[in-house]
Amino acid sequence: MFEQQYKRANDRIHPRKDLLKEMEAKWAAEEAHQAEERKVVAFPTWAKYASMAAGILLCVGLGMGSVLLFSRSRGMQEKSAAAQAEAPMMMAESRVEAVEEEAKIVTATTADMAADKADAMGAAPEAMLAAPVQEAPKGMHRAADEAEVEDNLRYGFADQGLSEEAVEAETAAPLAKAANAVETAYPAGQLLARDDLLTVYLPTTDQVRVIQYANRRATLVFSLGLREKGADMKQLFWIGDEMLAVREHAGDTELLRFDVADWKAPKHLKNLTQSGTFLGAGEMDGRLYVLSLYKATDQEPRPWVNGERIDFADVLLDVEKPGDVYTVLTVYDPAQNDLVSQTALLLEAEGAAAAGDRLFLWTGAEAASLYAFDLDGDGLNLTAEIELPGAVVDAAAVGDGLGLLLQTGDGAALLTLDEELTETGTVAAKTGIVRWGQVFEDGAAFLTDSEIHWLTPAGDRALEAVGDGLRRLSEDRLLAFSADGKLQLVSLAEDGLKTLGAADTRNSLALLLEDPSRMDYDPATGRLALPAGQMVYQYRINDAGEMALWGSPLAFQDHNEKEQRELRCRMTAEGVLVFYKSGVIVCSQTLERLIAARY
Amino acid sequence: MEERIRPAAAATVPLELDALYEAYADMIYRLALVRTRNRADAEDVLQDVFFRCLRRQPHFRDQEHQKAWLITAAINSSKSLLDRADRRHGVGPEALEFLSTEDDTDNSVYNAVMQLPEKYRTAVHLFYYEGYSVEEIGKMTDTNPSTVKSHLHRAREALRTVLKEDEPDV
Repeated sequence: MFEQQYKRANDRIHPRKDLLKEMEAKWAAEEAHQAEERKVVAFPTWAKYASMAAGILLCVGLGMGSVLLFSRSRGMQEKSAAAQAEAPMMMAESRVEAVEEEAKIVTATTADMAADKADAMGAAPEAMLAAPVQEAPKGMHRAADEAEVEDNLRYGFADQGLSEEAVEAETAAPLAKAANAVETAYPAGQLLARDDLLTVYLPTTDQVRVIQYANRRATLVFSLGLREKGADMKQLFWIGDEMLAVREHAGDTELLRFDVADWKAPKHLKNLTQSGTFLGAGEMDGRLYVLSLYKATDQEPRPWVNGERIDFADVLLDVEKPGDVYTVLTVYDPAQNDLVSQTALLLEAEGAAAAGDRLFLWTGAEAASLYAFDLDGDGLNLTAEIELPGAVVDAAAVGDGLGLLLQTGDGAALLTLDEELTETGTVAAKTGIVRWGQVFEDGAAFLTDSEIHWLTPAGDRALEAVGDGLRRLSEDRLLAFSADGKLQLVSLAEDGLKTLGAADTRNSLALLLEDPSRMDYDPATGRLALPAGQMVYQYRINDAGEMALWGSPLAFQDHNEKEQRELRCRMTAEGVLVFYKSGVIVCSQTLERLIAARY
Repeated sequence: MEERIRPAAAATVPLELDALYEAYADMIYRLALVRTRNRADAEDVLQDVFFRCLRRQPHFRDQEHQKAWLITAAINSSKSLLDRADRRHGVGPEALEFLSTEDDTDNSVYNAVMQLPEKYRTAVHLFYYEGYSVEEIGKMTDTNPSTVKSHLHRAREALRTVLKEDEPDV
């Protein structure tokens, strides 16, 4: 009743009829103004100097009373200074373009690389704590575009939800220099990258690039254009000598294969394609599984792989839940250089996760089902299934020990299952909506709107906490973080959860934590790779308990027009990540000490 | 958090002024009007959002993505506008006279919504008119879903009070 009335009232509201014409006129004026500014940049250098000299002479001749001429002269000087500052950048651009065109390999000595790697892997955290924050020089972009660049930045920062004061402070901060950056011409969208701290492999929607960071300079050493530009890259894997990028194009899912045995010159191997939109992918025992969802049509009733329909013999279906959406699952083995299995399930999976030595698929929240597949051998076998009393919280909520964290009607439940997926135990907690959860061998940690919970067979322990994601740092420590950059270190003490430290990193870490699901954490090294927005971040905790954050030296964002480039981050000599316009973050593991310096 | 089911092939999204206007002007204007309660301000927001989109030329996966981006931009733009103390306006018949000429029942509901606090109005509009879920509204307004739920709950309570004679079925 209310809804219909409110809708009807709104449906009668329209902007006035002549508003579009007014806006078109204003937009045309703005475009003309921008074009005029570009013309100013293109003004010949000799003419600039001549005009500048004339302006200075006039100023001297007419005295300081001539305010108009003075300001014109000053403007010219700024343009001239900008042109001079631009020169090294232009050389860097030429170098990158030359490398890209000729595909020349830039060499670095083994000693150089070893030194760089040692810096990055070992000495960085201590050096970070001792290193003074460096002044970032101006001059990265052309002065004539400054107003427009700042305008774009202002909108960008405003979109991040910063206060007006913070937006102005960020916008006013100086730009960083480009001495060790490489232009990636990376279009807006999702960034995927994998690195070994020296070499960065970067597939984007148009090209695959390899960027080397040696001699403390980033250099583009390889670039391969992709046909069918514009396809969204989804995930990136590295198995043996192959780099495997999964992308979605025109409603189908593609696996791009590259032989990277020679890291300077990857070879593009034949793509594998399966019908349906991308659902997920993962690595298990040296094999890659890729999942897609395919909606059957009258013209194409069955999904296909590499152009051939999947055989009926390979189709599984749930007779109690008929539908027209298939979940397509392929398994690729680089050792055999081929697909080892392809299957379609006539059901719409909501998610998938590998745990133990099996792959689990689950369906949606209502009457959710969990299916377990054995990926061993040459086949893909459904080994067990179970109806669930709730919804699987997320992929991380499927634990190796067959524990499963569910969102139930009145809270959360940790379900333990045996190999046959028969329930062996349940422990429940009355909570609100679970925002993020992860199951470990000894319990499940999860976050609600206002609390962090540690749920074990012994019961539920909770503590007021920030929360959009969490990481387990050690046996007895969890790190909870929020999307607005708050950190909270929590101890899993037997007598209850305790806060060991908390910090507010302001906007800096919020950038870093925007999508926790894409973290790539290696507990063996303590390295956490965070492809966030336009950058790849990592942190590592050293023996002294210091946590260091740094980023891969990728670092350009292209705003469609070359004149509007922005440098987003850079690697200093010490390996410290300097967040573009946000400063350096170095903090201790206990979070008692946090340095978030702005430069 | 996890990878979710993705929509099919990306649709073409408008990035020219006239196409943007045709597709989204009503939507942005209505949202801006709900937030600013003033037609001139709503027009400013509309122009700001479209120009921002044209300047930045963001990459949109599909029309839903574009629509959500525009809504978020409209919320941010109207917030900036409202933050300026000299631009605050109250609701009055002069600002909303277009709602007093047709169906009285619909108008009374709309005007009752416009009397709610700003954060409640936004939640009500996005939930009941644009059809977004609590979680989606939370993302657009940078608010916890539970807070959005609370706003909706309080808005319904307030509307019940305001519309005593015609209790809303909300």
